[in-house]
Amino acid sequence: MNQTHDLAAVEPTLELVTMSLGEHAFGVAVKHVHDILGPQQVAAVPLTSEAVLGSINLRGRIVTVLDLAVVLGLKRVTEADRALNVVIADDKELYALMVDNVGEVMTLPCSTLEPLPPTFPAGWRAISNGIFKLPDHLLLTLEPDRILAVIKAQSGKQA
Amino acid sequence: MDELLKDFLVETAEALAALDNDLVRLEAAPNDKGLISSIFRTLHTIKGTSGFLGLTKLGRVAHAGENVLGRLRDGTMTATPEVISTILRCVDAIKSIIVAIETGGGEGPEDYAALLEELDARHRMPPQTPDTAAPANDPPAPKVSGTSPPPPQPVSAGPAAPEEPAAVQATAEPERPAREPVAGIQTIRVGVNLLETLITSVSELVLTRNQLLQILRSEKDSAFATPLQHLSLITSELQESVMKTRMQPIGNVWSTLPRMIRDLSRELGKKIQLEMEGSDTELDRQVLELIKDPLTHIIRNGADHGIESPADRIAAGKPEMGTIRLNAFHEGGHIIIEITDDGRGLDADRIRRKAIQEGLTSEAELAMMSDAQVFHFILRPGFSTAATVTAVSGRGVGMDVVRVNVEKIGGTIDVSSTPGRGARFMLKIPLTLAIVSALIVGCSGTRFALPQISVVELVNTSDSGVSRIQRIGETAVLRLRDRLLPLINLRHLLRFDQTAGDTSGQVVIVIQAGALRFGLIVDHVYDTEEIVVKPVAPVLKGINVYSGNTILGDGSVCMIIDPNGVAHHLGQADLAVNTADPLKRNNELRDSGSDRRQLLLVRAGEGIRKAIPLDEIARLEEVEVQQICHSGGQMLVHYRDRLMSLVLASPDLMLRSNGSQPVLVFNEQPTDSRRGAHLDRRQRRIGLVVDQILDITESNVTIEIDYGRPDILGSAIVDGQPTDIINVSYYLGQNDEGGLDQGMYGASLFAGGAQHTAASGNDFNLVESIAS
Repeated sequence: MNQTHDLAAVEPTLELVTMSLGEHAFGVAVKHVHDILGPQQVAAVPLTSEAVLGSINLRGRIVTVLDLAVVLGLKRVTEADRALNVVIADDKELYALMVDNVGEVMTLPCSTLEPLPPTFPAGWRAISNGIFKLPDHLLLTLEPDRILAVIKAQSGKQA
Repeated sequence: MDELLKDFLVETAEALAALDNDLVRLEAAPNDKGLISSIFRTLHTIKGTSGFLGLTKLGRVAHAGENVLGRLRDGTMTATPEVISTILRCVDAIKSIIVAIETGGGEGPEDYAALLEELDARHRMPPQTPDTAAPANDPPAPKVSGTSPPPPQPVSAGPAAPEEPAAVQATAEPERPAREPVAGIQTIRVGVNLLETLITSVSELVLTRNQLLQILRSEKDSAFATPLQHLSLITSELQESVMKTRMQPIGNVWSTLPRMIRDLSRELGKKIQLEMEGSDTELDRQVLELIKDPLTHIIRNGADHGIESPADRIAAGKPEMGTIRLNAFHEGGHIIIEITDDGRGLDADRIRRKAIQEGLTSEAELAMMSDAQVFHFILRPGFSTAATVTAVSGRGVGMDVVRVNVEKIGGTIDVSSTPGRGARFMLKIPLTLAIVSALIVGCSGTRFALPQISVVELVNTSDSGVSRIQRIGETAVLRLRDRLLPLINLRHLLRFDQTAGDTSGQVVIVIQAGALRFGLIVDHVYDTEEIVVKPVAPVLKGINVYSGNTILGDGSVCMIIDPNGVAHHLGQADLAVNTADPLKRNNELRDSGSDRRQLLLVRAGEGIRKAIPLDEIARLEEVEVQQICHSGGQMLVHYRDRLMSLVLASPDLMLRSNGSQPVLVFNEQPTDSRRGAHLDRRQRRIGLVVDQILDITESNVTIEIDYGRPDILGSAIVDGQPTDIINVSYYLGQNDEGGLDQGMYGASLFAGGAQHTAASGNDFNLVESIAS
């Protein structure tokens, strides 16, 4: 899946919802984002992989909360009961990525998206398409379906 | 109106609607054999059913139409537009008769003489000569749709074609009564998907309603109280009606059974009658679909294997006619379906033997099972049919499929039987799959839902008294009415923090999962609640402890515990996979050398500590030394109204002179080879005397040193310490190979043991080992 090429052919911009974990900034394409939620009461689900925090009730739908910090091996600054959740839809299932903060929606030209250098950990390269170079910081794009694939693989190992 | 007639009218109305279209398509493609056959079948069905219902006029019309279709089907007549028109008129006539029946009863005054004559004339017409058929040498493309203009026709037919439809309308319309047909609009077909969506929405509505009510409860004198109560009422009504859309009488599934029984009884040369009761009991359409096959299977089995031949029945003093009875009724949110036959019943002993043969269980385990549990073996996969119950064939054909299907919908099967009097299968099935009744329990501050259907009882535990959780090492057991109930702690299972130590208020939930009964220790039991089962997210699918999740009344998310999944976490949960008879397992231990087992660690005599596989032990007891009597060189003790032989776990073990001695009780199945057929053939118990029970542990057992002794399998490292693994089958006396040698060896060993005990002041001589 090389979006750089696909999009370059049409209109080379990408709309991203930006979010942060500690000092790192991430972006998820707007089309994947279903909701942004404030702090939620998360019901624990024991025996799952570490990245699964639990589930929440979103207007009658059960949403599985994933800890993006665990997936990326980072540290979340805010506690779980004060962190924000970015709800993403994957094949009709809803998941929430727990992050420290959610920022604005940015429209960025695809031409400036650079693939992750091979020096990044494999775990990061597995879930990201590339990096946007913003004036003051770097923005790593995230692919929700690939994040889920990674977690599913982890759960499989545990089970 | 008669139910049957009503169904017939609805079905016929539907069939006729399709028939019109089919005929039009046939006109466009006269050579479509499949279409002709389909139309023929429809008319044939109408004719047959109307004959059955005594609708002679309708039958005559349909019959005449069918005759003409028959000619078309045989290829002796071409579907020219005239022929089609005639048939369409026939269809219209059928329609008007149907309408007449719907609106006022009776088939109407019209006698359709002209139509019948026309149909008969076409039926009698000589086969078409090649001359008349020849012009149709340019057959129309078969895929012309009904709305396109008719393809080129024979010249003679040309003018007739446009006229005929008009003629049909002219004749049909005046006949149609002014009153609206009733059956046609009484039911509509709605896609199942739409129904499912409706049900999901209503479920959400119910949840939201519950949340609102909960908020209301905490607020006094709210202005919302009245409208909310109104909303609540409407929601309940809506839920009820929507759930009803899925409900169908179980009779719908049963309707095919009388025919099946009739065919079966002819095939098998038996006389069987089928009695059905409660066929109007309604249950979820989805559930109905899923129990259809299991039900058919059980009945088929009952007819095939349960009911005896007429001669046998008379010989047994039973009426020649066998009876299979079906009974369905509601009971506490479930549907109970009983299938009873008055045949020969199940043979528990044969099933027992077969279970041993197939390696499904050990004799020790089997000995502890009630007949009801033994009958459950017929529901096991691979419990092969032949010679299970009868010499001819077994009563277990595909019964595992039955079990799997029933368990899939959260139901249970119970089998009971009286030899010679018949068998009874009881299916307990939830009314619906969408909403289940669940017990909400708490564990380490988190709530979980447990399906009510698996919960047998709740036991409040206390630190003292009867219902006390007893521990052997780390393993907890509960003595419940003279049975040891294996316990599993939800905290352990879900890997919660163990340190929150207060266990005093814990509750044991006795759960029945398949044939297995166990206790689940939880911290609290809150309430029962009707919950809407939602499947878990794909990332959680791998965890077998959960069967789904749900949203509780207060809006919080809660996991639903799957009792079958929990059972897998019990050491010996999956009986079918893990257990074989002890001998086989011991050999496996010896051969493969490694296996993860639960072991009871004991001290017996001198030397290193000893271990016994825990699952082979029936009970742990303390026996008063004073009560041990000696007879014929054996130690005996009065135990539960029976005599139990005691053997020493080690030749150098010395009985205490007073007080009590720990004894491991094993159950021994009587075998045919044992001497003394006049003896009580019930299971025997053997007590293995040890010095001290140390602990229970789970460990990989790798026999590292084999001494070649029959009573010890060898030594292994258990939890980092050298341990002798005791060969239980040696003491149980069921070791076939080399039994004599071992017996002799055992005798000498025990003679040795006797010396030691003699030294401790007990005057007896143990010369005969149990193994001989």
